[in-house]
Amino acid sequence: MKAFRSIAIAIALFFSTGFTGIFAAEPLAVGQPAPAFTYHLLDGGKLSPNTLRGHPYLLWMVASWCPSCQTGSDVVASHIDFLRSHGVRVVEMQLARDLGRPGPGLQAFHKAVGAKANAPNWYWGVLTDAQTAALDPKGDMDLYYLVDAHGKIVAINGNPAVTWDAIERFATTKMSQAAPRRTAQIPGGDIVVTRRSRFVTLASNRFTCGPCATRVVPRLRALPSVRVVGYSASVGTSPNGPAPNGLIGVLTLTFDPSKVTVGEIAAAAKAGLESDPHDHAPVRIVYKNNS
Amino acid sequence: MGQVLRGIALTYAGPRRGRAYGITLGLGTALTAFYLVMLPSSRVGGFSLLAVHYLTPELALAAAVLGYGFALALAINASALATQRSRAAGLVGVGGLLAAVLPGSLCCTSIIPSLLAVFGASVPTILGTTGKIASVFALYEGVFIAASLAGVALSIVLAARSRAAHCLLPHEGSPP
Repeated sequence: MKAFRSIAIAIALFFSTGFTGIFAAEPLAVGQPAPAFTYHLLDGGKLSPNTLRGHPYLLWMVASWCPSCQTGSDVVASHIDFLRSHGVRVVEMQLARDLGRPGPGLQAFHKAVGAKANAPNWYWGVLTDAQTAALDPKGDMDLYYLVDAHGKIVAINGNPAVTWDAIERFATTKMSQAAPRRTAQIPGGDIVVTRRSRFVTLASNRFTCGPCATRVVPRLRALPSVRVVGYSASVGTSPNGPAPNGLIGVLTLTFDPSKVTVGEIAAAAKAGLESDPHDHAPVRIVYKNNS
Repeated sequence: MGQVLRGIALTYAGPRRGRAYGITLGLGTALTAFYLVMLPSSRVGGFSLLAVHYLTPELALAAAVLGYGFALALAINASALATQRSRAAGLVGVGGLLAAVLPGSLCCTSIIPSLLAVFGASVPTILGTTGKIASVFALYEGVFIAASLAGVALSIVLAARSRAAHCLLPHEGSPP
């Protein structure tokens, strides 16, 4: 009878802790910076810390045989547009070797979710052993971190299917925002166009090296008479004030005004930035000091 | 089979039939409500009312059978005299009820890795073992529920047969 009572008490304790576990420790604490890992994505690409820098995101670790993880994926899918509209990215990562029992793989979740899985703010990948040990040393199979735009962990939770309210709060409140900035700056994604005679400079906080080389410069070079004569990326001040993420890229071009207009150049740069499949933030063009 | 039906009939026709109906309806409804939440709870990673959202007709039927089935077994046992009660039926029934709880409580929760940690497992061991154990409850959830149903059915049979067999004695023998 005593043994039965002990078992009953143990079961009651587990239930009373809401299954978060009376022994479960949080692998990383709220307030700590999220580890700056480069994640391996299902499509063969990599997700670098630079891509996530300056953006709030949900870093979620799952096992592919776990039913609640599949349910969570369905719930996230139904809200992925909402998260995107609030600038929140989702990084859903399969735990290394599925915690010892390989399941169908995260591809199965991706497929089950359907078209929503290809949302530009949703990244799917697989953690390495080292990343799993660092992010989930306790082996929880449905664990997530909410990381603010500063890269700081602001909440740790699990089972998005049950805790969606917390994620929604994160997306809609200041939890996900970076600390307020002191001075006026280029809002994320804007291009400041400054023309001086036959030179034009395009400055944007989104002109980091990768997007510039792969998306923006080819479009600019395709315009008649346009030549890219310089690119610089610097920390600090843009033509319109301090850059939001601390970095401003400046492209310097020459052009023939009789063959192409400044507006067409700016539009090509805007189209290049907006073609980023992982960042569809609208780009506003700001003209300054045009002569 | 006839003996089982007779045992059930005696339960609801005897002098303690009011208590039998009370147990069957009261406890059965309570247990069914519990299982309506518990059976789909592996979909949400723990006991949560939101699990009802993921209830399927099959799980709802299983919940009703488990709930009212166990209540029926208990009612049969309760209607018998103390010496007529089947201990085996009680054990099998409770075992069946617990087996149905396992997938929802042990798959996709932190209980398994927490227990491994309590037993002193290292991080690599936890990360390499948790899946092997917890996935069993995820992958064989249907088997666990089927075993539970079988356990509850067996407990009804055992209890009813015991009840009927003992009750036959006064009729077959000479009255005291």
